[in-house]
Amino acid sequence: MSLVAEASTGLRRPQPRARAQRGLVVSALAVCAVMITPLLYLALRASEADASSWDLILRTRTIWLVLRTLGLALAVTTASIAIGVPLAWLTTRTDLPGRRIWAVLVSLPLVIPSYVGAFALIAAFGTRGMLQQVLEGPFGVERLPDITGFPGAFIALTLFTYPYVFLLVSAGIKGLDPSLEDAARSLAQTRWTTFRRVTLPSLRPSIAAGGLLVALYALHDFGAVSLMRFPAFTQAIYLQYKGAFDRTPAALLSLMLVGLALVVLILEQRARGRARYYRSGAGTARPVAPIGLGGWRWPSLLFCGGVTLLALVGPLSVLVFWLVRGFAVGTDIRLTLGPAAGSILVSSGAAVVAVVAAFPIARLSARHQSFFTSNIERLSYAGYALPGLVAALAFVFFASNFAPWLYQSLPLVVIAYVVLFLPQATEPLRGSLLQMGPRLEEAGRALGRTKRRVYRSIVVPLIARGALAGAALVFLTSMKELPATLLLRPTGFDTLATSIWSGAAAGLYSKAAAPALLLIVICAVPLYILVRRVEVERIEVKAE
Amino acid sequence: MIASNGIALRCSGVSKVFDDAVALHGFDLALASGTLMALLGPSGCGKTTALRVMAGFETPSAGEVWVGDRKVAGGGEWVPPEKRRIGMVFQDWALFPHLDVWHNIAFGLDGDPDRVSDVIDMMDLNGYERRMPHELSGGQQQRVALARALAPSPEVILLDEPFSNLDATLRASVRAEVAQVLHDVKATAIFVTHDQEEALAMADEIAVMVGGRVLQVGSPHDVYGAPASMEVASLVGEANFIRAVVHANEASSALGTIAAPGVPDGDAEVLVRPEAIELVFDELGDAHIIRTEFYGHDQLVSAKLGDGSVVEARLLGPHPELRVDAPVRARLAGSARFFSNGSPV
Amino acid sequence: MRLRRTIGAAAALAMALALAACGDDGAASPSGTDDEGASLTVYSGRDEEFVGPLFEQFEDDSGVELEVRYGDSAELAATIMEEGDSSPADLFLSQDAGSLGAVADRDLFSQIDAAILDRVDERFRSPDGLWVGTSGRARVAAYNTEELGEDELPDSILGFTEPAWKGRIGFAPTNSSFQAFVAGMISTEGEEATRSFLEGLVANDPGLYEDNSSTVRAVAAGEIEVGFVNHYYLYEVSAEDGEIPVANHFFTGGDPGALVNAAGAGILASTQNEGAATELLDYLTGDTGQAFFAEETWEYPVVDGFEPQADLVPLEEIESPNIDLSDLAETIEPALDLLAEVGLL
Repeated sequence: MSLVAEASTGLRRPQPRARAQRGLVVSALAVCAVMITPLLYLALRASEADASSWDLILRTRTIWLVLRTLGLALAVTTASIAIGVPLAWLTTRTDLPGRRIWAVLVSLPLVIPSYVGAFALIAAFGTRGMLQQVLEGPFGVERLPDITGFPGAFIALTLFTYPYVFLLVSAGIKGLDPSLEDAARSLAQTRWTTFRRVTLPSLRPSIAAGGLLVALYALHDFGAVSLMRFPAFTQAIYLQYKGAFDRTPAALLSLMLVGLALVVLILEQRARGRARYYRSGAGTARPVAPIGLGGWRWPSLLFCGGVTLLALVGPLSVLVFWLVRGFAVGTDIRLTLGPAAGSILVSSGAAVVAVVAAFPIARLSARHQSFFTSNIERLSYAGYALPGLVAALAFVFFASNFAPWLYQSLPLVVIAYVVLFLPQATEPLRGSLLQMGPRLEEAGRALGRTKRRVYRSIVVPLIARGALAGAALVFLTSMKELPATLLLRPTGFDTLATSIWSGAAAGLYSKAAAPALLLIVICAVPLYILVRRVEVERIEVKAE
Repeated sequence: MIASNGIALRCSGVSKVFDDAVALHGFDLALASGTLMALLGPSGCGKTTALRVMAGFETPSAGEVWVGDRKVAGGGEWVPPEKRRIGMVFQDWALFPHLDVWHNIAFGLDGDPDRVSDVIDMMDLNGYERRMPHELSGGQQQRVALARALAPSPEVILLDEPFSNLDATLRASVRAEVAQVLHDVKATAIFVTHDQEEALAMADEIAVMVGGRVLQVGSPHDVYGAPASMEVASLVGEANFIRAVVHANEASSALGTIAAPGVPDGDAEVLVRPEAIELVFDELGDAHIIRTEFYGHDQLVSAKLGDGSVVEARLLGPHPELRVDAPVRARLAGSARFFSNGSPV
Repeated sequence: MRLRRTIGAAAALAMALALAACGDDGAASPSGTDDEGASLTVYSGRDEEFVGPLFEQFEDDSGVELEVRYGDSAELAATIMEEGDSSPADLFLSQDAGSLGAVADRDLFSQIDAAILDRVDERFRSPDGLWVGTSGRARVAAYNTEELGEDELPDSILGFTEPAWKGRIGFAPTNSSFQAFVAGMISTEGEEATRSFLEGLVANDPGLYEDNSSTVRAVAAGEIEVGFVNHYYLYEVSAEDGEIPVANHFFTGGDPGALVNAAGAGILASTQNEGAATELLDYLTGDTGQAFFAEETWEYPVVDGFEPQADLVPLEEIESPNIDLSDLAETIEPALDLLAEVGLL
């Protein structure tokens, strides 16, 4: 990918801060207004707080909760990076046998909902789980160590979120400037020191972006931490809503969670670093010769295989086992396509709307960086930081009281998904726009094309990849969303996620396994497209 | 470290085949220590590939590469780039975006801050040490790239079209600076370019390359004045080829009669450089102007001769009478070189 | 170009699915009965699997169309509270009394017909007449019949804090019924006693599970010998897994472990359909409904004159503690705090 126009001047100043046009700002503000719906709701509820509610929040236990949750998020993020980065490197830059297949396999755990995955992990590796039963015969293993609590939550969250790091870093690697590595080697650096001193720093923005998605996921996830019985922040919030039915401390806790997310956001921006990572060479990039692994081949294959086994094969086997057992016992397992169609419908809707909504925000952030626009961007993360239940209740409140025609309708579900998952569309779009640079649009205008034609013929095709990547991510995450769907769906409308819940709530695992497997199979398709065809554009950054 | 025979870098019979193309074939080159050589050729002639083979980023399909007294490629030997002590300046400079100027330059050193300061001095980069690459202008980035390559005192420096990313106005001055620096440090260097002016102006030696092999190596004067083939002649400087018939050491052509000592009888092509053609306004002349390009200090005038062939002449000074369609008389006013069946005579 | 085709295909697929899903909508609606005009919206915290057939029967018998929204009882209660007066729900059927109490406390239920109220056992309805129980659920100790005889089990749940039970017991601390049980114990025994009890349990290294079915399955597998669950899980799990070596043990003497909670329903004050809602409530507490709960879901009928499943201890014989179920709403928060303090939550 070449930026000929950018390179030919040879002179590189920071992007001119052109004044954003009014239409752009207005649309971004409109999107933001919807995105902060949960925050408004929380503020409203929190305003009803009295001394006792504040008391609850400021107890030592709550501080302990904050620390513990942050600790979990930190551990999960670190582990995801430790797994995702090498995997990304192995599948894009080396001659690992079957690397294209591995790339798809190691991304697949993304589509497993955390509540399904954690459950399956317990069933597979629990103290008297399937693994123990397999080992009992030949080895007399009576009890496996208990993985619940922190270890279980840590493992469950890491296994099902590292693909975010993997996907973003893979894209980052594909966008690397190969001449940087050549330059390092011409300066007497070995392959390893080149990787450490040049490649890894260049990948910082991608790693930071992936890490952000993982960290926020770890903060807002409820399914995995509750199944693993790890007392995390989300659990405290849920207990307030569902145990004590007290919305006020719940709202206060939720606002605290948003605060935590803000801290994480700021940390991520620091982590991106001062540098800028345009590829500026004229002409097309040379295809890079894969690095020979040599003796490292078998350890690498073992690594990929191990991760796939734990994160994909394990949970899938458990699901298949439950399904088969259900058939054997004669349970009536009907696989209707209705819930599948429902899932695909709302998730596709969310994907499309998310990309359209993300565009003004991404554009403002990429082209018109300022205090104002970076705060608009931060606000758009509000929904992503919250557990689905909280965002859902916000919409229940606003829609039922102020827009009853919208309440319990499909459009509301789509809006909720967009509020929850917008950042997954904003990030790739922004990267795409940054990589494209403003010169190309200016070149088009100088050639006499109207703004609209420039958009259509130049901007849209070039950011199509970023847009498609964002759409795919939002689609995949929406497919497995549960709490908001349960609360906001039209009565009688089922998705695969609600079918899973329905079966599990009734204790009928086989009835939960069938839609779970169908969900995974359906999601594999867009994931495949995402991994193989679309390049999530390298995440770019502004110098500070 | 100078090799025992004074040859810092040698390629013998190197060829490089990619799946769909032969990039190098029988490529031979010997670079003496302390020489600044230009590898000149049109796009696609394989010069960048040659550079990458020398640096070690590509393995040769055949042939050998020597750095000083060491064989680094060929015949079962292979020394990876990081061990060759060959510095490289890349076309897009490839400055590490996450490091400032100081650290970019220091990158290949094992912690020798004095050396870094020396190099910064030498490249006139004082005051820029803390800047990040994207905060520098093109010319400054160029200097940093060169400084970085020079800092570890490599045996050979390779430069891949180092000036093509600069503004035209900048190019000339940067070129001169770079040539000066390389001479000052007595560097042994090859730079690759498609720009003949650049090659002629900067290099001690020029290697002309076409289709994956070297056609001629020599000083700029030699290569310009005594090109080994018509192809080389056209690549180095502008060339007019005039048809002539030689008889008894004299050639008759549209430029009149030209002395042709030692040239066998028969048909020949005569290489006449534009500066060697004189055009004079003449009502009765059998040639006429078809185009003029004014450059300020001189002009390039194309004229159609009596026999229908077109020549380009370079004239100093203003010649307002030489407008398009003006009748002129063309004659040789300098040296000419004869080619018979494509080879020089 | 390929990209465009992919997008186009995806769009077409999405539209086709939209049509399919719209056709599939309203899965809760019966086949074709849209006469009578009356339609009722029910929020059901009880699973479709178990209570769906009863709703369908109601629709057939009464001609009233039902739109049933399934969800988690507590989440539905929270939803109703957010909806407030704009709630589209007419009737709220909950899995436990806690959720009903929370909604009642917010004045969102309307008074229930005296005829229905009087029918239901006093223990299982709101003293203010805002909600009634529809079926009872008793806390039991499910035990593995291969490992233990019933006589080996203590009469009081407090007995399980004896060190002899170390590593042999288990329960699901996040389950709302368990939490209700702890709340009940605080009501009758006080906070201190409850704390000692919980600490005693924790000292015995209990198995902790996600939900009641997993607990029963663990008992069946011999992983633990005794699990604290609701009585009907035994039957639910056997239905799915086949015969299991597990039986229920009921506590006696007004023991806190003998708490009988109720699933129940209330009519929303915001309803426009009071008549039809009352009809449904009448149905649930009437002959058909109570017989259904007794036979199909293995629960306890709450209305006189109905017998539970044959092998269940009759309701009158369960010596449950003297608690007003509505009061559970007050002690639930301290219960949650205690559980967190001892590390179970």
